[in-house]
Amino acid sequence: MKYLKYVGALLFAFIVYTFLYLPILVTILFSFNESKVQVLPIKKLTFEWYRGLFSNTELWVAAKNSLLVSLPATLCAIVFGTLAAYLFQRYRIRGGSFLQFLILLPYILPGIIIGTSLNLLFKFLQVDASLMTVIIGHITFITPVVMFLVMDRLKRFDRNLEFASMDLGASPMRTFLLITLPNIKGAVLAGALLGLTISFDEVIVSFFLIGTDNTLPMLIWSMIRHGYSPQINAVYTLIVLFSLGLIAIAGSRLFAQRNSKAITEE
Amino acid sequence: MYGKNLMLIMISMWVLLFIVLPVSAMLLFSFWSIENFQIIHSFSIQNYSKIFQDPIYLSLLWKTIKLALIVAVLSALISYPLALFVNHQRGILKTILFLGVLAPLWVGYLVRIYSWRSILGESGFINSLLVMTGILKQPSSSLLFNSSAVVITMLCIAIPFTFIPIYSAIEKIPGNLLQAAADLGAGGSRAFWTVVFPLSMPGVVTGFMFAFITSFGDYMTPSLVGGTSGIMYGNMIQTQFGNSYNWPLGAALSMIMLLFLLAVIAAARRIGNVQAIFEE
Repeated sequence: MKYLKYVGALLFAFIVYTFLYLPILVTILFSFNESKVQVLPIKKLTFEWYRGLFSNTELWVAAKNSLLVSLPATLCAIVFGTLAAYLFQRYRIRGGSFLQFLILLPYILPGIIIGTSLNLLFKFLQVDASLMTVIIGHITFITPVVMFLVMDRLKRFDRNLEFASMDLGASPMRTFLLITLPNIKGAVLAGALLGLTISFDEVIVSFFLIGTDNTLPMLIWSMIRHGYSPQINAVYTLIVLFSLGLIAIAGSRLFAQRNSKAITEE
Repeated sequence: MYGKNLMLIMISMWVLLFIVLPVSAMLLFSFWSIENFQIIHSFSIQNYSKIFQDPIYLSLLWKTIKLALIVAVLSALISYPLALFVNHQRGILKTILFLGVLAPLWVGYLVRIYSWRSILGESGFINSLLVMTGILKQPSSSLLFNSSAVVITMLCIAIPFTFIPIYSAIEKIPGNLLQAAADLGAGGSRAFWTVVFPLSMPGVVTGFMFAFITSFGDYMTPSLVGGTSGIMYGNMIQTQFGNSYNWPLGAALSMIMLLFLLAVIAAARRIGNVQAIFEE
């Protein structure tokens, strides 16, 4: 009975992981498929689609645009997110939990609402859609990610260190830079990595804010609608590897942090 | 003190710029109307009365609620045992399995939808498998471009979102509670239903809410795998901002979505723990 239960659980988990990874595996598999249609069995493997990427300037421009959006958006979100986390965690603010909730909203609400509302705001202000408007859209949903990760870290960080620093005559700014920041930098970095990968992949908000310059996912969205191209698989295989790499870095940090936490608690 | 106020001002500016102003603009546009492709800048409730009188809008809203509910229920039903399973593991395997559920979240949203289209399509992965193994003589076209294709694809996107809060709730349950339950004579299933399950409820509610909200607002999945019968509320909004060129109506539709989802969040916040989505 116990054995059966164990096998059942294992089988269940296997099916769920397969379900989650099937689309990713299929994408990787067919990025090497010579045929222009996605049909099994695969007759011949090729690097053709990867080679094609190098000559596709449209893709490179879009990838560059994506970076031009994601990097500044993440930087801005780090500043605002850390600031907000510090403020909410270290001071009692009247209406603080309501403010927190408002900052969190763009993360919980579907992108379509952020997209349409910002789109209308820009129309009202007669601001033309550009990469700049996309950046603003992306800041909205990265900031809460950074804020909550940093808040969680601040909660566990011993405040007496800050008091000690200030007792020794350091200004609050100096205390923050020399004591607090080095202690929370793991959380800030994790937030930045998460924010960067989420932003790099985002289409739903961008759709309503994009002007004439495409980001990578926006370009792919228009390619997809016009039909199938194996090149999309090749691009995404590269993105998948890139994202998985970032996640592995973040993950090993997390694991290291947990272990050091376990050691200090012992 | 000076620093605190400066920070507070900056954060308030953030909220003003990214939340208050956009929603105000949306509210304003929703009371305007359009005539001959020109926006009429005068107050009218025309859009709202149209939405509430024309059965097209309300039936689509209802259909979208049902579809998002199905996704959320299935997602919770799958994520819960998965969270128990992962929490049961030890050491690095646990971390790997945990991150393994989350990783797809950052590995291409569009590509997963797109890939499901080719998996379910007539000449796709599943059909060619079925034909290869002789289960089907001819590829079936009934897998794609309908509501079930939308549900399957959304489920694949929603599971990680649902998993995080449920897992975080289960992981936090102190082991000595289970010890105590066992000492008091509770068997495995009794301990589960009287200790683990109630304590994990806030996580389940939050995860459920997340799956519901993301599916409710998704318009890319329906437009890629839904066909005409899989269209959802979000697609109608998208159309108003695109081909139909009717921003005021789009604003009103968005406004209704916003109010509805705020009500959902408010209800979930009473029982759930929204912050759990950011906790490892």
